Amino acid sequence: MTPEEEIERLYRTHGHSVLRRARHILGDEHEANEVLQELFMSLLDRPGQFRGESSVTTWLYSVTTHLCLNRLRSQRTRLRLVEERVAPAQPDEAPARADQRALAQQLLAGLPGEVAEAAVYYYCDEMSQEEIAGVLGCSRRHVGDLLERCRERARAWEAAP
Amino acid sequence: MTSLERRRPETCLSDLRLDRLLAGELEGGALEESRAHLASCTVCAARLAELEAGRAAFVAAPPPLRRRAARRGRRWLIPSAATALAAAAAVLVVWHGQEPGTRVKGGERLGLYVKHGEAVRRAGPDEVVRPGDALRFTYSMTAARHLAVLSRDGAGHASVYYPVGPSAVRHEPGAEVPLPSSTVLDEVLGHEVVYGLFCAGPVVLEPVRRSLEARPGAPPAVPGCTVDRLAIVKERAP
Repeated sequence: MTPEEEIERLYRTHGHSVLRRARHILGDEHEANEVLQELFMSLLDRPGQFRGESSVTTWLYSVTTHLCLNRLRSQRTRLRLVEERVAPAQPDEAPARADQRALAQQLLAGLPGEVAEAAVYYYCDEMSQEEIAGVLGCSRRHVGDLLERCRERARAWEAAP
Repeated sequence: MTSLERRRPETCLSDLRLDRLLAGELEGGALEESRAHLASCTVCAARLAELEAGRAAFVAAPPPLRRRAARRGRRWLIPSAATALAAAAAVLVVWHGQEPGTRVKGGERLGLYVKHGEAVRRAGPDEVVRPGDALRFTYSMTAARHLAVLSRDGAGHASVYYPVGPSAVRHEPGAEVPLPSSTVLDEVLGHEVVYGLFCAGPVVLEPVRRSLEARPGAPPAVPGCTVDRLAIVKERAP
């Protein structure tokens, strides 16, 4: 199997989780598809990026998280998401849930890198702190600190007029 | 915290754990532990079923994987004729013709941009383009739809311009949103009709393509889809 065929196989077997997570984090179908394409196009261009230091799934989680957070932080994307009040990921999503999602996305866009990553893993993927420590390559205690910083920022957001 | 919440406690299986289980990456104690938890936790079992259904839907109709321009060229761009022959041909675009039986809703339109060298312009009525120019389709619609673009050329051959995959692909509403591919018309002369399909679901396209080929002059009639069309006349330059 050529490297290109291997990546196409990876796309078919793991593309679903990349797309689902991007959709969840970004709340926007178009942006989620762009992340899916960007990730696998990058792999096609540079097939050696995955070095087998973790499972494929874990590695794709990490790359997808980075790509999504970059998009949320980009001024253009953030403004568009805010202006559109964030299109619900599901057509039948309740308005309150969509608003909550929009708030979460604005919060994530403003968090420092490692804090935002921990928040995505904890709240979107519902990982344990131990799992997050494994993905981020840090101690469980550090993950606890990151999540506490996230909660502090969220409280400050909600208290703001 | 209202803006960030989780539904499952840390003692439950995370999405990462469930995705790894689906991918066959778990073994030994982690596998046994996950199976035991799933046997006793309806929340995690339901989440696993949800992820599994998502995976099945993706595998059945994966969105077409784009390539970088140079790489995609081999797959997407229809090989043009030899340069001398291509330079002699011209393509006339006729804007938004109507065909009997074609149902076009005001909010669902297929558009076309022409790239000539480095210049990009929106094609208008009687727009003349040259081989080597890239055509890029756009869509405008007010609600999310599954999209596909098919064409029947002057020789009666039907093809799917978009997507690469077997089924129409869902897109969010927008105005003049470019589809993620461009195409160059080949040297087949005559009238070519391009159909934009705006569908309620992921319609399988091969039967539509076959029907387009089998019934010249008839627009694709697909339940749940509306159709917009562009007529193109390809002519050789005098």
